[in-house]
This record gives sequence, C-alpha cells and structure tokens, in this order.
Amino acid sequence: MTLTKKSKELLERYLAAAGKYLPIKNRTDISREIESLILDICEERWPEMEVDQQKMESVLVELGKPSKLAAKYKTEVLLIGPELIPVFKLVLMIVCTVTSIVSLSTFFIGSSPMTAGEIAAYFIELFNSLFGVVGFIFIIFVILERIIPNKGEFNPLDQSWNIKDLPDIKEKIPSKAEIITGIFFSIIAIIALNVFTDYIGIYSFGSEGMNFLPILAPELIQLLPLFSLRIAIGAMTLLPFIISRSAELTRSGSYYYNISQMGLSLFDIGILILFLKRGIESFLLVDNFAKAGFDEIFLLSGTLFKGILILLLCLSIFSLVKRTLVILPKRHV
Amino acid sequence: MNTEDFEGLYKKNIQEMRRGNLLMAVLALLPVQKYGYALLKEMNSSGFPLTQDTLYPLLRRLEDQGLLSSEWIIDTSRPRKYYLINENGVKMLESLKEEWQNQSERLREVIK
Repeated sequence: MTLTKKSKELLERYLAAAGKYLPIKNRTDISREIESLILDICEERWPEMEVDQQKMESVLVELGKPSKLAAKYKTEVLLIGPELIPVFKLVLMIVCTVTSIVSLSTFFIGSSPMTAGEIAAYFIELFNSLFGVVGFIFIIFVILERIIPNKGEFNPLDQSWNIKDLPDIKEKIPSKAEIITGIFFSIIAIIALNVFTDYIGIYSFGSEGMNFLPILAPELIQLLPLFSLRIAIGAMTLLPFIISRSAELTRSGSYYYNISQMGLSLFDIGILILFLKRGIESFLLVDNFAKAGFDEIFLLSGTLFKGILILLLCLSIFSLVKRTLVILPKRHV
Repeated sequence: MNTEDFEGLYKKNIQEMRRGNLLMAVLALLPVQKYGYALLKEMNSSGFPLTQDTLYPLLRRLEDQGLLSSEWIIDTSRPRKYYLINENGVKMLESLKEEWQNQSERLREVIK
C-alpha cells in the first residue's frame, strides 16, 4: 500500500487538526498512533493498491471530526472542553481585536506628544483591560461548559463536519527553498543595516558629480541593532523547519513556533507604536528628502506612513491574538 | 414507553454493562504484545464489538494507570505502537476476574 502525495497531505492535515485538541502530554505519541491506525485501515482495505485522495477521504470521514476524535483522549477534566473551544476562540478573537482597536484609536486621537512613561502607562492599562476581558469570557465559558448538558449537539459553529474544513497546514510548513531564501535575505538585511548604514540615502548626480544625502535619522540608527535582532530571531524561528521533518513540526513544534511568532508580534507592536508616537521625522531626515526634491512626495508619504503603520499595527495585533488562540487549546484551558 | 425508547434505553444499558467487561477483555487479550488495530480486530472477532475511538483511548488510559506497557516497533514498513500487559496488569486482571466471578455467581442467585 502506498499513499499518493495528495492523500498524504490530507492525512497530515487531519492529524494537525486533531493534534490541536489532543492533551499536551503525549500529543506527539497519540498523533503518531492515530496516523498508524489510519495507515492500518488503509492497508487492510487496499493492501496492494495506491491510496488516493478519495480513498483517504473515506477513511477520515469514517473516523469523524478531528476534534471529536481527539476529545476521546481527554483524561483530565477540562475547564473548557473541546466542544466549546472553537466558540470560545471565536468570541475571544472578536472581543480582543475590537477592544485593542477601539483602545488604540482613542490612543491616537490624542495626538499630543506623550512621554515614554505615559506610553507605558497606557499599555499597562490596555493589557489590564484585555486580561479583564479574557478572564470574563473565560469564566462565562467555564460556566457554560458545566451547564450545557449535551455539548456534542451544542455546536453552533460546525454542526456537520466536512473533509474540506480541514485547515490547510501548507502555510505552516514553508518549503526548504523558501526558508533558505528567507534566511539568505535576512543575513543580507542584517549586513546592510549594520555595515552599510552610512550608505543608505539618496544618491543624485549633479554638475559636481554624485551627491549623497543620508536619510536615516540618528534615532532610527540607534534602533538598528534591535531591527537586526528582530530579523535574526525571525530567521531562527524558521530553522527547525529545515532540521526536523515538517510534519512533526506542524504537530508538536508548532507550539514553539507560535510562541516565538507571538514574541515577534509583540516586538513589532512595540516598534510600530514607537514609530507612530514619535512620527516620521524622528526616523527619517525630512530635510534631506526636501533637498532632493522629494518634499511633495514626502508630505504624501507622511500621511501614508501613518496609515501603513496603523495597518501593520492592526495586523500585528491580529496575529498576536491569533497565535495566542492557536496555542490555547494545547494548554488545556 | 414506546418501542423506540425502550430500544434506546436497552442499548444504553448494554453499553454500560459491557464497559466494565471491556477492560478485562483488553487485559486478557494482551499477554503477547499487539498493536491497536490488531487488537481491535481480535476484540471484534471475540464478540466485543467496539470502535477504534473507544479502544485506542482505553489502551492509553490503561497504560497511564500502569497496567499496560507499550513500545514503538518498526515492523514491515512503518512504526506501530505495541501494547503488552505488565505485572500490575496481570495482578489487576486476576483480581477483577475473581470479583467478576463472585459477582456473576451472586447475580445468578438473584436473577434466577
């Protein structure tokens, strides 16, 4: 019995989906055993044949929804069981994103310059309110877990299971070529940021030969080692994908991958906020842009700069919330 | 109670009755090491029909309780997890067998 590439991929997707709901203790082992079971079923049914996508689908449909299969392995009493986790995650994601965006927009409406202490105080307040909200939702779901009798039937999000609903794990496993390219460009970027800082600027050719106008403000240059660190850590989170089998990583390693991505998101949020509060002038030498005849474009880019930063900030917050929620069921809330 | 309700309740009671016996059957069928799917087939052919989503978590529970030992063995072409009853498991099985015999004798007396 052999598996086609597509049936193998489907199997990996199923295992990844089930893995999210398996107890953190023994997760890899249980996942391997489920894989072994599926292969045993395939071998029994199609001993000398190739198992294509359709055949694999039929076996997986028989095994049923991954979260339900995983729920059978729960050994301890969970505060929130796997049936309610999808609803819990959705509610948490919506509420946290809305709270963050509303809070951030009030932060930016008051445009007067803030001191570092005020910014810190603001974020402590934001995290306090987020923790409060998360705690409140958590308690509600812990109560719901105890008062809803047949949770198997209470499933507002997904009453029927379809094989097509299996999450795509492809995005989580970058190809080796992508990783190597990513790491290569990261190294180039680090070198560029550290060695060639003095050469970053606008070059123009006038009557006196080549003119060079630096564009990076001292404040930004001070932050460059931090950026290098960010890029290096970003590249390092990709390394395990080269060393270990990608399939293993989606099941067990993704936890650490997600944790590192969360750290990076937090870092990004911090940097973006700093940029937004200090303004473009602190990071780029505006005068030099003007001298080079870029003033109009620069004015436009000033507005764009803010817009892009806010967009990036929202994306980072969304990513942080998403990663947090991805690892939540694994920790058995 | 209509027939449908009765049938439903009957099935539920049968399930409950079998649950305890299942544990003994699993322990009794593992004096030689077997992997999950082979045991599943054997259980089904021995008159203990059950599905993989009942057997596999049960095997794991018994292993956690220290009644079974397990190891991953690569036979044929791929790894399989093999289970085997251990010393504690044998002791437990003997005690359960004794208790089951006592209970069934008492039950026989009661329901005759």
